[in-house]
Amino acid sequence: MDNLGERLMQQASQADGAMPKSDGFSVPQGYFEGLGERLRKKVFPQQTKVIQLNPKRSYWSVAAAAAVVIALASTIYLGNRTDAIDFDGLAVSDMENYMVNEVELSTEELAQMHPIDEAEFQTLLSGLIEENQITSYLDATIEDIEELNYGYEE
Amino acid sequence: MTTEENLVVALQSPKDQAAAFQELVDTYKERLYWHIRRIVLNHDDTDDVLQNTFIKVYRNIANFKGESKLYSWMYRIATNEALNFIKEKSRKLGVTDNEYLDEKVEQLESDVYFDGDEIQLKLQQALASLPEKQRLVFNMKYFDAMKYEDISEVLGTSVGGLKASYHLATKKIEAFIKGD
Repeated sequence: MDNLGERLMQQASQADGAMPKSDGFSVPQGYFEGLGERLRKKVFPQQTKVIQLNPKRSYWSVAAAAAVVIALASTIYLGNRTDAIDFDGLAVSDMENYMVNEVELSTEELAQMHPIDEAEFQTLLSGLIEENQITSYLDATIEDIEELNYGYEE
Repeated sequence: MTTEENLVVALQSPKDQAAAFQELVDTYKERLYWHIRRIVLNHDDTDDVLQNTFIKVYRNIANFKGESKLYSWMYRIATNEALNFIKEKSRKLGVTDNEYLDEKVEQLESDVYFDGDEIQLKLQQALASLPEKQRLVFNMKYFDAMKYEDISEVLGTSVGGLKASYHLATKKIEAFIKGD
């Protein structure tokens, strides 16, 4: 093992392929074959095949039953409804996704919509920011985490 | 247009993106897997990070402007995901990144997906003791056989700096093994 460094350098200089050298790691059998399908289901869930449960049932009877249910439900719901639709029922992540994917406003544009002189500074100053919120923010916004360590290490 | 450029165009087109995403995964899954695996060491963790990487690539492909190569961009995302994974885990455990990796290397001995011999295990122990950048550069140069120019594009460090990091890494690994 005395000349390991030399051997490592020698092997490194001879390396020319994209395939990894042996490092002792292995993967479960069939892992790579199944990966594409698992990812497809996560990224495109709407394309998952739907199997019809009872294809022989008449569409007309189903449509009629559905119409009756909707009519009754609407009457009862609208009759009893006291609360108006508001933002409280929306998940923050849904609103964020909508803003990012549908509205396509950059963070700068969003900031312009809320001028800084309207910000409630006391709320900002008195509210404690959780460590995990900071981590999540840095994870989402900092491209090179190394930048934060500049001048710290070596 | 190159194959890579065609793939990017298809990924940005709603009509073709599902098929293009499949092609993207098929083309890069193994390379990215091994890159991530050498950072996080454990198969299950690698699987999580790899899936997150592909999902992030898909969600952000509209922002890819072709200023760097597609695979460099994906490597960068994979690297950041893997490093953040380690930082998050070590933070939760209240230990440093190197202490967390030491623990992971110890677990390799009983890991069914590690078939390494004594010297391969020793090498992992030495790597776990290195600073983050040296560890990354060594893995990408030695195991992935990447060119310094490509590593530079991924890590955003100058080629000169990378050569120095690689040299330091090999010296430290040598000292680690001799000192045992």
